[in-house]
Amino acid sequence: MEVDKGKGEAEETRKVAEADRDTVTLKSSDGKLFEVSKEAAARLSTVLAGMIAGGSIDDNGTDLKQIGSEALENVVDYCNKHANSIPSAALISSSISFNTAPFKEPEEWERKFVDRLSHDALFDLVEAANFLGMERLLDVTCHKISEMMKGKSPDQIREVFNIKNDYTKEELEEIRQELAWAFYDD
Amino acid sequence: MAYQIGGRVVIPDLNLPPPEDGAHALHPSAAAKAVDDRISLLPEKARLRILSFLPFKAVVAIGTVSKSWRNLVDDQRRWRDSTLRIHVLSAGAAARGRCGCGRAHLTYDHMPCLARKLRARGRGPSHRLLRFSIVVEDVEMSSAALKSLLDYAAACNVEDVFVDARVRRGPPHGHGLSYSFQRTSNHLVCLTLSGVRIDGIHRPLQLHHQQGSSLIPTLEVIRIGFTELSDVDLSTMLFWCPRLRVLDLRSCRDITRVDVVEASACLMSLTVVDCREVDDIRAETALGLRSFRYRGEVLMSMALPHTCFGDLYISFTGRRAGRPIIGWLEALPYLSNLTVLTICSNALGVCACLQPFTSLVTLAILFYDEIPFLDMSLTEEFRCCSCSALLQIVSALRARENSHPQLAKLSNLQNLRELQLLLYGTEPDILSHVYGFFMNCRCSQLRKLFVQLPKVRTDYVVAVVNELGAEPPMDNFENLVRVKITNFKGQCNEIELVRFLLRKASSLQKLILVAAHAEGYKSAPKNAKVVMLSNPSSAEIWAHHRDLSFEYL
Repeated sequence: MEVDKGKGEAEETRKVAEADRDTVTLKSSDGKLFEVSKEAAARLSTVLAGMIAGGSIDDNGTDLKQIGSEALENVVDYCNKHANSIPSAALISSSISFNTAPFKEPEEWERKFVDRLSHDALFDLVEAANFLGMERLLDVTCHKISEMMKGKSPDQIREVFNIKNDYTKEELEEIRQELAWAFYDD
Repeated sequence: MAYQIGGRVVIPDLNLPPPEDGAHALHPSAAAKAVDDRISLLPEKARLRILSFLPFKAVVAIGTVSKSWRNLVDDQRRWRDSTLRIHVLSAGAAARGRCGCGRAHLTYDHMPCLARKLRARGRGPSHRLLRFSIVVEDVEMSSAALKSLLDYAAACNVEDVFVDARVRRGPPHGHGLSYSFQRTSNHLVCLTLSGVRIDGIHRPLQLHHQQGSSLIPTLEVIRIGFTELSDVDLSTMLFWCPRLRVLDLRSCRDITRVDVVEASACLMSLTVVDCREVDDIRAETALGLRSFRYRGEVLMSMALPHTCFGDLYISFTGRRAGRPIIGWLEALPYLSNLTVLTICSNALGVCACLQPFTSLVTLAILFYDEIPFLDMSLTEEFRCCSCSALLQIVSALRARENSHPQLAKLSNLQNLRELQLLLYGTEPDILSHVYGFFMNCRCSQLRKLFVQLPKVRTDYVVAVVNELGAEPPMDNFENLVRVKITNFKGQCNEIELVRFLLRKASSLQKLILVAAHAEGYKSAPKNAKVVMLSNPSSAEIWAHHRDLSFEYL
């Protein structure tokens, strides 16, 4: 369950907390506290799974200084909404390493979940998902961004994402000439 | 900004779906265009993840959005999840360490381990692989092992396949590695094969999901090199690929004729390089052709569409007894839209040939081509000619160049912004070529000039410098900002060339000299704009046609 409390109420939360409770409390960069089920956190986030296993979870609220309250709220919201069907996001690392989870098209509720986000909230969520090692959430958010890019010309992409064109006119001409085939569709 | 018309939120082009109901109302700022460039500041992993959901063509095109995106797209070693890049080394080479290619380095013994990793990665469309790239050096690598990797990539809907087995020595041809068109991914967009046999062209293709269809509609780029490919193979292959845009053939033995009629609907770029038997190129049906690049020895006929070309590379290496086509200039399309041109001195030599002097023409061509190989194929008559006699003939021809209408096509290069002159062999006088070109060709938009000098020393030409005619007019050099001269040896004619450019090009910012030998040359002209480099790879500007670099030795 999501709990969004001010600092005053945090005190009360701590009293209720027991050592083996089934939720973890996360603290956003601006000090807001959120609770999320331990099982969902461990399953969806490699970073939180590591922290839970390593005992570095702070019952007073684990500091996540990189994540703002709005993004953390979305993260917690996502965790809570998430059905139990997604496999562990654990990664194998070595000289050839892959994200082994198969990519599944975002489900209807996941689409809705990212569709309602503002441009900035979406990017905040990508950063949070990346920081917390939440592969599925990263997939869903990045997939959303890729949908925003699809079918657009480089000019349109620059406009939508406000990307500054740092090529000179000549450089751009040269690249376009080199990669001319990629600009045609019929 | 979101704005309201009749109570409904109107969203400017953002690809966000309209709000469905109150529960999913858009955040007020959702309709606004991005204020900051958040996407370029995302962690690399997230940016790669975004790209991994895009079609290969879109990924390539995103490289033109900004430099940081280009770096991300180009640096394939960062692409881990959606790219499989392998370099199979022999055990001995593996002991010496990795090369700089950034691929995962393996020996053939590691194949079972790789197979396990790929099994763990998973197989099928939901484990999409954007690119598969393999370099094979190890002779132990079996054709079956390569096949199973290619099959894996195809099953994962790979869109870009690169196989390079050029340096793999070992079993004689026929036992080598092969690529089968039968097992092509049905999403394949770009195929690059080097040093592998090509199979399965002639049997009807059976694509995974397209029963009844025997075409590869997705394939747009084919690059094939260092293999045996027959004329029938080529035309059949082109027949399978109706949407082909780029065809690049290099060092393909056995092809005698390149005819793109089967794939001319979309073809934009045709490259035929070092295919030693090709004497006929037919591309007049490819009305969208914008780029044509040819290098070879015995081209007898060439037909190009009369459309507007963007870049052109013409190089006659002419080492063998054949003669380059004299009418190549007539076969050229209109060049007023040309932006990049590479032309070699042999072709310029042909330019200088005039119809009324047919006999002399032949002599001049032979002179340009055959001097280093004088004993090979010249007739008695030519062998008797001394160097100085030939020089006189050449300058006589040069005197008449200006008036000849054949050069009209080359004379109007009003959009040319990059020119590369390749001076092959032991030319009598590099300056005459450079001057000769600029006397005939008007290219006032020229910004970059590349001159590749012959690698061998030719000191005897000192006297010829004095015989040069009028210098080319100034207007060719008004916009010239960068010059790069490679194989600089500090000879007096080379120094004269540098002085000439410094004198003429008023906007010149930098003139890079790349020394032919590591120690460099003290005799390079002293000038703030002149940079002397001994390491060619440190030069900061590169010719558009750099992928075709070639040393005439």
